[in-house]
Order: sequence, then C-alpha cells, then structure tokens
Amino acid sequence: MLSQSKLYEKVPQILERGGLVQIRTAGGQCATGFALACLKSFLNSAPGPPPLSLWISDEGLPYAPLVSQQGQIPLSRFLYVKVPSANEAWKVGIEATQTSLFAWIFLRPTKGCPVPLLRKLQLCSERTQTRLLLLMKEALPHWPLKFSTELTNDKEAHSFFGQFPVSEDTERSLLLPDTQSVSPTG
Amino acid sequence: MFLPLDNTLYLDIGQTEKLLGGEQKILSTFENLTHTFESPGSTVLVDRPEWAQMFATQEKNILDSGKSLNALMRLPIDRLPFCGDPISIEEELSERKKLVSFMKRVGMYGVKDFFQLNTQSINRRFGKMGIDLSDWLTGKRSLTLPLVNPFEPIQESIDGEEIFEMDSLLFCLRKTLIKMETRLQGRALIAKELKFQFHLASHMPLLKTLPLSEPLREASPLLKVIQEFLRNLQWQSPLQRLEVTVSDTIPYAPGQLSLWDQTENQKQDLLNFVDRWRSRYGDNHVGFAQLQPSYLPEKSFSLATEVAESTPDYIHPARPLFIFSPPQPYFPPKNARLIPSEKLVTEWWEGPTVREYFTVTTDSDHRPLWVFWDENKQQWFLHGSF
Repeated sequence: MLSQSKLYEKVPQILERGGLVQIRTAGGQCATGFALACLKSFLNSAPGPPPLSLWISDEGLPYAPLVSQQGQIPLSRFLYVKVPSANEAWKVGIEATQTSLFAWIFLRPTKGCPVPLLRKLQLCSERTQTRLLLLMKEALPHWPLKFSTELTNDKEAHSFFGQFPVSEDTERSLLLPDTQSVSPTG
Repeated sequence: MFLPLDNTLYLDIGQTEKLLGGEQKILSTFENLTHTFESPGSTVLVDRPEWAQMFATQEKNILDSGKSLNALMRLPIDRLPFCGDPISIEEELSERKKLVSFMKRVGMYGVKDFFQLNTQSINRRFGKMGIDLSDWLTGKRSLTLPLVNPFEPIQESIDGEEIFEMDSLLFCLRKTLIKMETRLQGRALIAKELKFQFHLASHMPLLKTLPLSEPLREASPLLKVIQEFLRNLQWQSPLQRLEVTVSDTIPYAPGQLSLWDQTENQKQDLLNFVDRWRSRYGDNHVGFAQLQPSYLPEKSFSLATEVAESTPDYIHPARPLFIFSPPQPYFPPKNARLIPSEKLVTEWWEGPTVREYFTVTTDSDHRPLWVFWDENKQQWFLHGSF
C-alpha cells in the first residue's frame, strides 16, 4: 500500500511503461486536481518537448484558464474531448490508446465499463505504453489496474492548487431551511 | 520461430503468416533484408521446413500452399539427403549421399520411388538412416524451430583501409547504419546509446560514446547526429577498423511524437483523429483549449484543432478546476454551507445573464462544489468541482 503523501509524484513512476491507474475520491469530484498534479509532476521530470495528453469526459472539462495559469501544462499539448455518454468516453479511450499518440489519457466517465472492455484497455495501454488515469466514483475490478486508491486527504486532492482556493476570511455559512425556495441573496 | 545456420535461415511463418500480412508481404520483407545485408541466395517457400533444403536448387522456388508434396515427388533422388533436420543434414550428409548412390544402383532415380516403399522394405534395404529419411519425407517427424531470442549486442564493423578522412568515414557509415536500422527493426528496439571503437595502427584504440537524448533508429537522422558528434574527431595513426555498437536500447513504441520520429506524419495522424472526433461529437466538444476574453467560465475558452499558447485575461481565485458542461441542475442539501465567490452579470448583447456563484461544502462530504443561482431562471446549477 503506497502512502498518499505526494502520491501524485509516484503515479508517473507506476505508469512508466503504460497501464491503468484508478483514482477515486469519496465524493468523486476532487480527482481532477490530483490528475493534473500527476501530469505536472511528469512534465517536470520528463526531458524534451511536452508529450500529448488527452482528457475525455462525458460531464465536463478542466477549466482551461486555470490549467494555463499553472504554466506547466501547455494547452496546445492537452486535447479535450467531451462526449455525450459514459460508454462513448470508454470507446474514445480505447480508440485514443490504440493510436499511441498520447502519453497521458485522463478518462473521467460517470460510470464504469464491462470487464472485457477494461481488459482490452489494459492490453492496449501496455502495448502502446500509454498512461491512463481513470477518475471515477465507481470502483473498478482491481486486476487490470496497476494501482487503485481512494484519496482520503483533501489537501492531496487539491495539490494542484497547493491549497484550498477559498479564503477562510470570506467564508460565510448559510443554513438553508428549504433549498427550493430560498434565494442565496435573501 | 527461426533457426540460423551458416548461410541458411529457417523461418516458420505458419503461426504468423496472417498476423504479419500474408506470405507475399513476408517474402518481400525477406527480400529487402537479403538486399540490405547483400546476401542474395535462394529463397524457398514450402509447406514444411524439413523439406526446404530439398528445393533449394534455384534462386527462387515458391510453391503454393498444399502443393509441396506433389513437387517433392518430382525431385530426383539426389535431393533426398537434404531432407529433415538441418543440423542432421550437416552432420550426416556424406553418409546420406553414399546411401543415395546405393539407391541409384538398385534402380531408384526419383524421390517418388523411395516414397512408395513401405517401412519394412526401407528398414531391410537401407537401415536406420533410411527409416529416418522416410520419416522426414512422409511427415511422420516434423521440425520444430526454436523461438528467436537474440542476446548479442548489435555490432557492425567497417574496414578502415579506405577511410582516410571524415567524409569517407561517413560514406561507409551510411551503409552500416542501414544494416543497424534493419537489425533494430527486427528486435523492435530503438538505439539510445552508440559506441564507436576506432582500431588504429598504433594499437591504441580510440573509444567514443554517443548517448542519444532522442532515441533513434532510422539511418539518415542517425547519420546526421553522428556527423555532428564526430565533427572534430581526428586520429593520428591510420585507421584499421571501426566497430560500431548499439550499447543501449529501449523498446520501440510506435507513434510517440518526437523531433525525428516522423513528426509530420504523426501530426497528420493526430489531426485526422481530431477531425474524426469533431465530426462525431461536434466542433465545440473536441480540440485544444483556446483562451478567450470572457468572464463567463464556459465562454472563457473554446476548442480548436490548433492553438497558440496564451495567458488568461481574467481568472477569479475561487474558480474550480473542473467545469460541468452544461451546468447541471442542483439542489443544495439542508446542511450546506454556501461561501459566496463572485457575481456575474452580462450585457444584453451577450444574452442577459445574472449568476451568483457559491462554493458549497457540507458536513458529511467535504468535497466542495461550485454552484450558482441563476436570477433569470430562479434555479440552482452545479457548474464545477474543486
């Protein structure tokens, strides 16, 4: 069991020769920061021009201005693909892995896929030495994965930012008696 | 599987003929190989490897699948000693030839005559060697070739007699590098480091190591790198021999974009894939992010096939890293803590939008979300997650 401290620096080593890694969070949302931290760590240590990376999701995309602001992940080498359904996300994932054009593929579907498809993805990724990071709530079968973990530390998940972006000074709580009827400005 | 002998190479393509693109492709690759190594010889394609040497009587003898046995029956008895395991052929050739001359004396002139005899007669007249030959010929025994597993380093040697200066060295190196490219290709490797050992008349060998920051395999870019590497090299006494060794390699991973590795072709491949995905999912859903001046998160970047690097015009510190597209309807739970972050109001020409953004956390789940209250629709939307 790997320690979660600086885990994002260890993932590129685990995926040195390609393969699948699943990162889960209890809420399922925070892994984007972790994924980009892995990529940033890889780019910092890799010599030469940055390799191509690919983001596939059926519910959204990384916020490009924030990715660009970090300065280490060039947007011109980071392809976004927004697909209409989770099945399409897996399909594009396999297609992209087979091309071997991408060094990193971040797959964030809203649901899992059948085991044979996952096995196919594993074989493709190892053959083409493509690093695949699977970001989802659902736990996948462990045997096609090189590594799987659930992030328990919030700061680890937000490591891309360094710290949580909301200042404690401006924090304000609102208790909502009825979410349907209460306006936030009220 | 293959079996390399002196001047003979056996390839069993039965298992992989479809995988490697069919017999035609395998043979043309083999012809290229023999051309590269300047070793034109006879090429035989038969149903069974143990029959191959029997047909090696002309430069090219390609037999259709399933027709080798008929062709075998038409061969003269002189070809019988070349049937079977190539190692046994080498060891027993003289004895086998003596046996065949005896067969001729008893009136057997074709392989067919021997083939038609039963085992008992063969044993009585020609002994154990006759039985062995019969087993190979009738297919009772079959040759299993060992799997190839080359361990020796890839090394080529150049005779230094004609090399007096750098230009002649590079001319000779070109041919050598083509051979090395083919050998690397055969092992699915790329060179990461090369070693040059100059054997001089003074008996003081000169050793030069060239680490390749960009692993290479193709001869022409390698030659350019070597040209640059050896530019200032001079040797004091006459060069007798130059040994070039690939001292470090990595497995060949096709398609990695790099400076030398057919970048243009791969760029074209990438554009083809991007175009295909754009036509499948829409232009707005596939591409590289191009930043745009807009306060609205969903309009602050668009997706294009090629983009130039730029810096964001506006970015609020409390914006999240992941944006849901489109924003999803959301109902904050009762114990939610809403932390106000920003209020966006757009002009009428952009479509009137009034949004008040909040960061939502709950006691049970500390993963914050980014939500907004839409004044116009009077509804909550989930727009991002941290």
